[in-house]
Amino acid sequence: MRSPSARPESTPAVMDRVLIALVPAVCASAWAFGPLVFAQCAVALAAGLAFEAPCQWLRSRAVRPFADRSAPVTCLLIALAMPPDAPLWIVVVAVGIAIVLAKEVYGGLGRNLFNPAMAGYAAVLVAYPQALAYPLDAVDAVTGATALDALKHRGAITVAEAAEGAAFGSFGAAGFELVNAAALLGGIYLLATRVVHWRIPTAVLLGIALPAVAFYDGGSSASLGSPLFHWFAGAAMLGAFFIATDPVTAPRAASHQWLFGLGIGAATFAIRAAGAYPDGIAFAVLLGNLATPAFDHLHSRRASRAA
Amino acid sequence: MNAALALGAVGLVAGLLLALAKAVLRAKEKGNAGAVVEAIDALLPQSQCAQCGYPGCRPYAEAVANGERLDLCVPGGPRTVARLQALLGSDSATAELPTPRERTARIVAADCVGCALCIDACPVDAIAGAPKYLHAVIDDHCTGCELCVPACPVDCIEMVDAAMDTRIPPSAANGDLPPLGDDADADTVIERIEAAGVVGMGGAGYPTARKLREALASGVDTVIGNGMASEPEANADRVLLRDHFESVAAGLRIVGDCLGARPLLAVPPGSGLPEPAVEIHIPFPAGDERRLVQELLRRDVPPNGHPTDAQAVVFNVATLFAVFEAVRLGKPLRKRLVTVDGSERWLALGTPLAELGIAGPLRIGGALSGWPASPAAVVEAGTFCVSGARPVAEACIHCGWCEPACPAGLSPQRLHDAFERGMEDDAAFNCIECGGCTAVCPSGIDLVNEFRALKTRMRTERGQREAADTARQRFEARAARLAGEAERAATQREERLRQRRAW
Repeated sequence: MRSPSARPESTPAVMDRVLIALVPAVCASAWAFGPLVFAQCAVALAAGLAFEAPCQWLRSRAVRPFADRSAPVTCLLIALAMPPDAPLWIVVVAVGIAIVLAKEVYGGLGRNLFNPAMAGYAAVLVAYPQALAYPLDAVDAVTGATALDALKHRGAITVAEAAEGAAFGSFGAAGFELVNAAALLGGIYLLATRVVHWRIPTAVLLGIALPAVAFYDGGSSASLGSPLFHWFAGAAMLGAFFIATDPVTAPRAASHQWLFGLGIGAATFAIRAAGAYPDGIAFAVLLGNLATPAFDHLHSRRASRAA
Repeated sequence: MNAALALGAVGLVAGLLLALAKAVLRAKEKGNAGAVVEAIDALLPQSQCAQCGYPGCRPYAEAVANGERLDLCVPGGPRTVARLQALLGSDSATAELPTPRERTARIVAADCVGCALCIDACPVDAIAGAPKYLHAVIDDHCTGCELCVPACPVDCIEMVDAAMDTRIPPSAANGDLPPLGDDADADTVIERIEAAGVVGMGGAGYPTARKLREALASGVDTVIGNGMASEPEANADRVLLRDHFESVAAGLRIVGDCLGARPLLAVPPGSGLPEPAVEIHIPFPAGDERRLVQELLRRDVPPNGHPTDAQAVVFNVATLFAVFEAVRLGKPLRKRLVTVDGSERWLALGTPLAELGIAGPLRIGGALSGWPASPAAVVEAGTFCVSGARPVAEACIHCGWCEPACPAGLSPQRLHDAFERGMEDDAAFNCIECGGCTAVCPSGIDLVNEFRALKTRMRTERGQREAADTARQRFEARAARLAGEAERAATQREERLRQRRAW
């Protein structure tokens, strides 16, 4: 894998690459949903600074917020997950929960149990459901919905008919297909620079696609959506490349990472298909994070062997 | 808002319930007294010395279980206090105990009168002897409790430090010696190497003369000069080969003639050196002598064995240079080539590192497999690299890059966890301290030194546990013996009484 002759990449350098990889997704989101997205990103980053500094001081560490660049990644992921017109104070609350409760309280970088961004986002999603509903300028039978929302609540029409709604784009969800494509681009950059391994993203996407294929019946009124649609709707690509791949909260052994990714993908599909929320990636990732300590415990029993 | 308040209240109640549960379970645990006393007793050093005021370790353990102070065990020292605090979850204030020194008792033979009072005093039966005959302390079993010292009426018992210093005696040669020619026999050559103070200069410092004698005894057919470099930026060996190849090769041939073995000088690819140099590519860590033997000779060295088990012996090139200088030029080992902060210099052995002009804390042995140097350190025979300290490390982010980088197939991530949590992990003893994991860690963690500390701590704690177990067994055996004697004496007395009444 990596030869030890060169200087290692430091953690901030690795995180910088992740930030670079997020730029296309941020721009695509702004293109699709308006410049408010930039405001959300700015507010999220400011909140991150404001929350991380006092935590470092309280923990008697050097107060250098954003020094290891993991907090900005969390902030941007939360901003991207938020609907474009979510109240800014909710963004602040989400970032606060993510950084203070889900990361610093557990011991800071490297010691958190849950993905901080998803923990913060899931918390506000559950606490403020109305404020976080997506209010696209919608037409036809479904008002104020994303494509996933529209698919879930389309009643008795077929997928093809629903796909003519404004919430749908050419092959995925309107707007979201652009964001997912941009996230995919960023993800490929991360693969090329060896920041993430292809194992987890592939597993997550497979985990979404396999049930989708299994339950695909050509788009009837009861269909749950095609694999391609699911890959480019909601936060699928973001989740696969940026969220599920967080090394701190993913299992360490390769075989466990496959199970982890497949589980997250399948849970995402299950929540999208049968759960109350239109997009399940946040909860799916948190469920996967719950399984990671168990995987690591198994791994630690077998990890070493005599030279 | 209501939702937030409601959930907050639920969380608060749940937290209070947890705290209540902890208190209840703690009380239940205290009620299960036997297990607690066992656990406390297991942490005590078992010297049965009564310095705590109780007649043995078990009584003190019972007292602690009933609330006695934790800081009374003198041989246990601060380490035991900390462990007791961790076990009992108490953070009551404790007195500052000095760290105990490992000492054993020693009987001065000339003064001993054979009274056997010390034998009775020793709680673990660590003194051997009979009345009117000389007594001696069995070092391995003495716990240093000092109960025998006041018991001796002629004051012939003294306490000495237990650790024995096995330092190699310094070289006898001060000035230059006469050069030896080709006709010198193997023993003369080895004696010259010994007199010149030549030791392994690749870092370990094993006396070269001893290594040669061992190789002669076991019989080798190949002697390998190790010119491979494992530490990036520690180029002293490469520079020595570049500038003094003839001398190194001559030293290798001297050793080869001495052992009757074929000389091979392993060098990295691209060195462009003539015989006996052999260019060989070995992946990291290239300088590992076991790997060298495998790659050059296609022979396996058993896991806990030495190259001599494969009829080979390996010497560092700097050592061979020193051999040449000692034998052909008559010079004792006085200086060596050292990479100081990136550039090579000849330094006299004994030069204080503080005088080398590097700011801040120092590191010996390279960025990967080296270690922090104490401020008073000096250049020694094995000091091939001196540099500034590594930058401060960040937390482990579990990226897992270290696992494929480990040539021994270990999980540095897991060992790092064990180190941080104060736990044990047997896999640590398979670590060859090559530094491959340190090289790839993005958080810059000094893993090799963490694993060295882990191994040291594990060995120390295991040694202490074994010593404590042995002491406890001997104590209990002695108690049983004394009880048996008392019983026999009582039985005999009754028997005599009975007989007397029967007359």
